[in-house]
Amino acid sequence: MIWDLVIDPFVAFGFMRRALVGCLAIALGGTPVGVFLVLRRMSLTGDAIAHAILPGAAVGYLVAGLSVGAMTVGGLVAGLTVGLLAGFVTRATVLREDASLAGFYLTSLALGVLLVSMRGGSVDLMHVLLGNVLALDDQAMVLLAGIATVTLVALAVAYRPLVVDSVDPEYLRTVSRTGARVHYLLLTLAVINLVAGFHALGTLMAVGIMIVPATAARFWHRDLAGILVMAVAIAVAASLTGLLLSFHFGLPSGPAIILCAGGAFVLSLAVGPHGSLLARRVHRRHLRA
Amino acid sequence: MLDDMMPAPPPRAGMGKSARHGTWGALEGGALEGGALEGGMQRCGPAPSSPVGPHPAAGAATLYLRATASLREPSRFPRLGGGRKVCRATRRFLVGVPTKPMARGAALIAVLIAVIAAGPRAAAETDPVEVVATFSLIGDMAAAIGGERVSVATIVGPNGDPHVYQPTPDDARRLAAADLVLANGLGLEGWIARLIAAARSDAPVVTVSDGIAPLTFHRTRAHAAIARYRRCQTGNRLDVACARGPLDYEDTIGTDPHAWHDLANARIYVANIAAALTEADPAGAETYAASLAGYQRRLAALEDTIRTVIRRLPDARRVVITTHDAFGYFERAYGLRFEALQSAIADAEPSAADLAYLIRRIRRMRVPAIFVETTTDRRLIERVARETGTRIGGELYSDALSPPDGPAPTFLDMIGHNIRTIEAALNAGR
Repeated sequence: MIWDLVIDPFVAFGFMRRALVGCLAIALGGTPVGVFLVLRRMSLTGDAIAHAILPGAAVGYLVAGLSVGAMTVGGLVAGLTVGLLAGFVTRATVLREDASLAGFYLTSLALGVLLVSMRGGSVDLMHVLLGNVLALDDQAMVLLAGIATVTLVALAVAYRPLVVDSVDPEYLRTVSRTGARVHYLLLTLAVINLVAGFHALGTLMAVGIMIVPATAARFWHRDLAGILVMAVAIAVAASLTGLLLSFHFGLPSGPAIILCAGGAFVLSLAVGPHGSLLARRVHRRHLRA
Repeated sequence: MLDDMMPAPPPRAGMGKSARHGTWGALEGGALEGGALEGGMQRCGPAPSSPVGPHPAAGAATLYLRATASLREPSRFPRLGGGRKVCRATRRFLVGVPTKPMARGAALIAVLIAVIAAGPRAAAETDPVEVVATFSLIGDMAAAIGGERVSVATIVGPNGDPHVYQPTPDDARRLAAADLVLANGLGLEGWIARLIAAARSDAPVVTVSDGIAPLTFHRTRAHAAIARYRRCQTGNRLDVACARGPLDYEDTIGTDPHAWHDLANARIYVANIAAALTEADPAGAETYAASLAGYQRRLAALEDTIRTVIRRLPDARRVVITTHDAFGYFERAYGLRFEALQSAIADAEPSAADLAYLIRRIRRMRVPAIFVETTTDRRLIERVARETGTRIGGELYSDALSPPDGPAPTFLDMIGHNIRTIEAALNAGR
């Protein structure tokens, strides 16, 4: 029974194995980055950057056709330009981060839409840009795994300043000048992980697997290490469940995965042990008694 | 790049768009950007003084016509060329500084509509029949039937997907200038009605698929099979007899628009086109009748070829696996079975279940080759090919022609190319 429902789809079909491994890579690399974004109140930054990637990928597609390399490079260039420019403008002018990011990403998005309609070409470009987790080829797999590895190494190296800059940036500024560098590093990691996710889930769904598990994990642990592990676990579980739902009930895979993560979020919000609706209720009663 | 999007009319189409829009295009451009606008601003008419007044469109139209007229005959409107003083109300109206955003929006729209509506009046009398076709197949048929007497513009050009097209202002301009609009109907061009309304076109819109027997789209075969599987399953047990029963397609989604793949329907298409052209241009009736007869003969010959090719295929090989469900009519007419990865509704994203179903089918049937369609994303079907060890048999053209230098620049070439590709791939390795 469990064999048929859970194991057999992956044994019988290579595309299911590929999809699962691809999702695992994104969960391992992207979700920890998402945790830091949430911690720094930059949850929506991911969404903005994902939109900014679109035109770069579109240019890559227009120049070189359906090639993983060209679309990756294009997406990276566009995402990094927008992310770093916004970071720079935030630190150099009066504009806040959200405002400068909004300015740049909307410009970039408009450019992307313009390029897409100028081509009006053979394959509907939006379909290409939406990616498909069921169609991962070898190149995309290598790219996903590579980006996950780079991200994990970078996070491990920069873990301490990243944590300090996230919880107490003022303190970090008094003892060291790494604050800006850490900020740019995180933005860069967000961009490369979104580019990776774009190949598997499409730009918009990639933000989902990055941020939603991170928000859900917040309700399960107090310490950062716990949140990180929990977020990755939720992302992996959501990927697995989503793929199986897609397999057994004929649902589109990308949205199914993100919906599972969303379900985990709602569940955590209701009954998680730390700061959830239930926990707060119990806590208050305890104080009253 | 822009030419890709807005293809010039096919070579047969006689007079090109540049010739048609030549002088008037230049005049319109000049009228809007340069002197005429200033001329208009200097005129304090009653309509512009009240931007939210009852007839903003009429006001704008009048202004526009006067302004362009003044370019043609400056002596008739001496005031437009003269005074330096700019009337503030008029300027507000045209430049768009009114305080209420609604008024500004209305004014802008009114100017746009006036510009668009002024288009057809400008067309000279001796032009060929201006035909606008919604997508490349119909455009090609119209050019073939109309010959020298018509000038065909196509909205969705070669290799474009008519399911998901986004119209541009250029399209609206062409529609407004058209004498006849040809659409496939059957729900293919969901955007056409709004576009025609927006362009204020009074050209007759002819649905070329009128009179065919429409095929209802069902769920894809994959979906029907999954539904059957679920119907026949109680708890953990599968009723084998039931699972071998007929597929249930009841869950209809709509009408299948790809009627042209049955050449009997294509004959109705061209007959409808010829009738519409005759109505628009009675003087050319003989020409249209003659080219219609010729086209019908070529269609009949092509149909014979298709039947011969399929008759020669062994039963077990009469299956074509492709990306999107566009060949229902072909299947019904010629008995070649088509299975698609994706429902014909191009937006529907295939699920893991669809993919798994198709892979199982291909493994069981030992299909010799699978095909890619030119207007769809090919990554998934390539994944399927690799996973099942099946060859990609070639590209099929289903919803759009190729550019002139491709293998399917006309409708007849397209059908011929498809059947040759299918024949070569399915016969390979016998």
